[in-house]
Amino acid sequence: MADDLLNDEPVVVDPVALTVLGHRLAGVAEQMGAVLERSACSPNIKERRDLSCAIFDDQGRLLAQAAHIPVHLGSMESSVQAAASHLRRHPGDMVVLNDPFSGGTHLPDLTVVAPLRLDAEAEADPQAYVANRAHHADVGGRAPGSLPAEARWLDEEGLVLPPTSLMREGEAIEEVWDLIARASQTPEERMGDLQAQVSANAWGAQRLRPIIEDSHWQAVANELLAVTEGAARAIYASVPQGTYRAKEVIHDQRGQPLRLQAAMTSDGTGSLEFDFTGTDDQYPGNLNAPPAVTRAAVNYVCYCLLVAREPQGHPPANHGAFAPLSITIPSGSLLNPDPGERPPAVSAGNVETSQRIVDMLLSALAPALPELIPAQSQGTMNNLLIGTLAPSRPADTAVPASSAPSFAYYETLGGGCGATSHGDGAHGTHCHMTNTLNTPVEALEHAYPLRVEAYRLRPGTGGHGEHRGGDGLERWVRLLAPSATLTLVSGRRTTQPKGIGEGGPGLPGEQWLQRDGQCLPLPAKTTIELQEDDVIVVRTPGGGGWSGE
Amino acid sequence: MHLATDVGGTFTDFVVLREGRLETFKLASTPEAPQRALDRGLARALQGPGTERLRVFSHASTVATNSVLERKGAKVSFITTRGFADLLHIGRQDRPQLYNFDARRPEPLVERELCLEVDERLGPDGEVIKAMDQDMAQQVVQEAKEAGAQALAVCLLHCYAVPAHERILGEAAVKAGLPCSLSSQVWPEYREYERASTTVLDAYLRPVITEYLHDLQGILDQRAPGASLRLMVSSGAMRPARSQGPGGLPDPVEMLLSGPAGGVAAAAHVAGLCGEPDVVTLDMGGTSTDVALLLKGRPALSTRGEVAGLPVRLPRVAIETVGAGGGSIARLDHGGTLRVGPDSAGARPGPASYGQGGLDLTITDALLLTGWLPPLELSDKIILEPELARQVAGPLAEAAGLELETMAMGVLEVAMATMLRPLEALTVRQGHHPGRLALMAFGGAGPLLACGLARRLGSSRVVLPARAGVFSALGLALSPVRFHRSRALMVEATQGQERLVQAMEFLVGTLQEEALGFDLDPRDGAWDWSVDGRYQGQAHELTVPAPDPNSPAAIAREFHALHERTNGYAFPQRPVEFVALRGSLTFPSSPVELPQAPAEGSRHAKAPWEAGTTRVLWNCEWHEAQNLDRESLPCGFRLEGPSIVLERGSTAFVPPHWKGKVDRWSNLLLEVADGG
Repeated sequence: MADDLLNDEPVVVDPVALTVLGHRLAGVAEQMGAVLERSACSPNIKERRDLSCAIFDDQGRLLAQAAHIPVHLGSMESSVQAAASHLRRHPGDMVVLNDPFSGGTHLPDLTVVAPLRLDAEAEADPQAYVANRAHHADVGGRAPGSLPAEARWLDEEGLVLPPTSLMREGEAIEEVWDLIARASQTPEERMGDLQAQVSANAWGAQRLRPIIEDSHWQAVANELLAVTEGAARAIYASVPQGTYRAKEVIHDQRGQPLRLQAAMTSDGTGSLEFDFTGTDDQYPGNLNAPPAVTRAAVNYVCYCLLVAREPQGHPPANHGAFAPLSITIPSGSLLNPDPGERPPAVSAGNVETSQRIVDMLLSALAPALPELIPAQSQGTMNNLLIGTLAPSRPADTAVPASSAPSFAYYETLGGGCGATSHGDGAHGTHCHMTNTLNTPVEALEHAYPLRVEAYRLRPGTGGHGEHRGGDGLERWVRLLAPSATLTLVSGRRTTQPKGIGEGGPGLPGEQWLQRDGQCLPLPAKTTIELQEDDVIVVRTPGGGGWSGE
Repeated sequence: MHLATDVGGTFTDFVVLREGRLETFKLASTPEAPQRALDRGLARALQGPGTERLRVFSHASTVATNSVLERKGAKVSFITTRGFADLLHIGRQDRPQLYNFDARRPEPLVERELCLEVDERLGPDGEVIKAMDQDMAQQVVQEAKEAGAQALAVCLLHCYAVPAHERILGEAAVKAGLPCSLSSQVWPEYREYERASTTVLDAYLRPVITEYLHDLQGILDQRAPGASLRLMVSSGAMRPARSQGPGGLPDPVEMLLSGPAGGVAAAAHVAGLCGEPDVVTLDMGGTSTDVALLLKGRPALSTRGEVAGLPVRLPRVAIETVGAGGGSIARLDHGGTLRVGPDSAGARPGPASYGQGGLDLTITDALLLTGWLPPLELSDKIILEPELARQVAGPLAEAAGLELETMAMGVLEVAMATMLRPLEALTVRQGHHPGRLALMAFGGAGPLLACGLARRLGSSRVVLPARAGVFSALGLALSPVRFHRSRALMVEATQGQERLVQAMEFLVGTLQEEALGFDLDPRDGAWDWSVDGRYQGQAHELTVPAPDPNSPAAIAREFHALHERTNGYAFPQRPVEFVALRGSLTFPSSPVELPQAPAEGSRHAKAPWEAGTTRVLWNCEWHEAQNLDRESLPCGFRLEGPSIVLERGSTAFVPPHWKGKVDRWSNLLLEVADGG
């Protein structure tokens, strides 16, 4: 590296400075995660770890993200950009948002963004941002857990927060905290979790400060992104030149098909284009997904490619790794809905549609990279929510005054993963866009009036092949309370996860209700009232098998 | 006489306490039969001066961990409640790596065909929903036996509340002549997967540990009849053991992670001597580095841990392992970044400078090139050769566009940045600020990087303990004997009185019985109680000290206060749930007076290193560092950086702007001067 004296910024960035900065930034993101996990209140954040923490530069580009939940990967950049305009005025500000049409993904995911300025003067532009996102168990809406299966419009899904000031000059803005508390049936938990998010950002900003006090930091950070981008391009260039296409069909709450379509083009020099033209229009239902979800799915698939090619020395997860990816999504489609006068529902976009976008991209890539790409996985998160809240309860009312014990149980179920060229798919495992833990049966039975009667694998549901697809699993849950509301949001009930080559497909999932000795089949997406002693059975899909040519 | 032995992969360390004096030595380990090195060391210790008989033989070993890593345990059958045979295979349904299509959870230790169900069911408070049938119990045990099981692991839902159903299976196992581990004994707390995994590990290790201790007892009986055996368990305490008779064995699963716990126990002792209550410890080996925390002078414990990816729920010293050690290899990734580890040159061929054919640049080589490590004779066979290090560093430096020395310094910078990440995360997870802790380093290259790491951590104090070469064995000799158990409570605080009393009575009875089994009078021991509590609906517990377990209101008050301190907020109006009561009975170890440094003003006769100097690289400049022989440094000796402090098996680097002094026990206490 020559000393270029003619350059305005004669900063020589060597591999050591780059690596050290990368470690320090990643370390801060990890510490934010430690603070958030430690001080959060709800099981969903603490035990299931449904959270992500990240650091951004002055332009809101991702510098480091701790490995938590793939569906958040790179999708927080739009949150930071949406929040930035609200953060100019006061030092010590933090902004909260969940509006899917303004930097959010779905309503339960609250993102809190904080700026970092070296110069405490008001009006100065921040040098960096820290942000974290956590899934709150309930933010209001028509059904407990804020994922009502039959919602048609966003306002039925809970409290909508466009970028809103949460902290000003380090002080909590009480009206906003109250607003969030009142929307939820578990207000104390919300306050604890939100406080934990604020603490995580405060810690991150404090630890980031000495890093950005180095006058060269911006130059090194730019170089880090550039070097990462270069390394990523070199790997993406190994995707043979060409256009690869795939389609997927998902089904709405009435079983009507909705089409997803993708064309991926590799120019052979490391740029990858993803075009979702041909995807169906948005519709009044919750499978719509804001563009941040599609962006996260594309990032996830591409980051897996980087890891597969360079298992030990893969580029870090920052903006550079994703800069070579361009994405086109037709406006007004399922994957880029137009808010219009009444924005459509989106809650399942994050948890269901995202999985199928991944499956579709993998199907497209499989012919190009047969040794790397797994067969399709279960393609759903099998969202199961049981709780006691009147389904018609409007989003903006306070917590009911009645002291009847209410509860909100939310769980996602693993299933079969796709087989790869190296081995069988994993059984009963969360694949692709999520990785949350299950709720221990003993914890669940202690906390809720429910009894789990069986929790086991479904042998033989994975697709056959040289390498077998992973098996799905099944969970049997009995209601012990007089009544409750059940919401199920799942997919892959009529279509099957495809195998690769001669590999067979995985079996679809199914679910039914046992009531008074009778088995009543249930649709894949439903919100219904349960009676005491009802048993709900959910069986999750198997993964596709793999066989070489 | 008290002999403490720690069996490591390369060396077996011995610490002898004889007539109040301390001796140490090392022998090469004999991995194919660890007992051989032990027998040799025992013979050597017994040949020493004086007539004192060997009374206590303290021991730590990696035999349990290795059996799991190498999958050399028993063929286990797992028995559980109907509907849950796949418990071990589903786990927590997560995957170990987010972005790797081929990452799999480790295969459970029990084959799926040997996972059996019994038709019984308890509710969350232990109420019987479906009773256990004795015949059915015998039937399922028989089935396991016929399938070739060598040991049973039993984990029934909610048995932490009422162990009766598990005991019926336990009795059936005894009748069938099969060793059996019951989850209600091994870890009687809720969360079925982690409890089952812990119980399976216990059953898996039982035959291995039984045989190992039987051999050990044989050696002891032959060489030193009447000596009593003590084992280090993962919580950092010593547990008496006997290879025969009821209650003789600790739970085998407690032997996991016993080695590294010894070093942390010794660190706690040294921290007490030099008045540093809050310390982060760093134990750097050839391929990895262990970090742990001492808070208020005691090792921070955790009940969450794993071995080879399999969860273990037992109180253990919270140790975090980083994949960077002296042999870790530096590589330039094609993206233009520099990576150090996790691949390592190991002991063979070892770093390039060992002259054993190593062709990669390692941390040790970089230390040699920066002068932080002088070109020493490490053993009869290995003399460090800077020239060899230079040869492998050259091409890497050229590729990176750096001077050779800058490259070497860069490897150290990256190594430290790699090590800092888990170290800071561990501290933050425990609710502490990394910069407020002192850093204590021991083992291999730890003392060379200690000051550099401390500065990057924001800490200004470093402790380099004496006798670091046998630190783990020293910890065994210094640690007290402790029995500990827990009992599930699962009750709301205001309703908790009765359950607390019952649980306490149960634990007092159990722990007294365990102590009496080793002729220890419970009246000589100290009781310690704590309660795991949480807000109702929370999934995460805080461990609250409970000096009086009969007082639920006081415990709840302390819980609110602790929640406020650790998490920054509390809900004083919200119901508190007590999850488990933990009790321990501790018998203090007999006081050990560590050997003192030579008196102030005196000088050890032989000080071979003192005259020399070493050229060291620091902040892009070369300095002349003074070489000092650690053993010759008297109490109160003051030194200033740059200097190199040498002793057998360990070298320390004191950079410019650091100064230090030697305390009464030869520990080196370092501090950064202003502007450092």
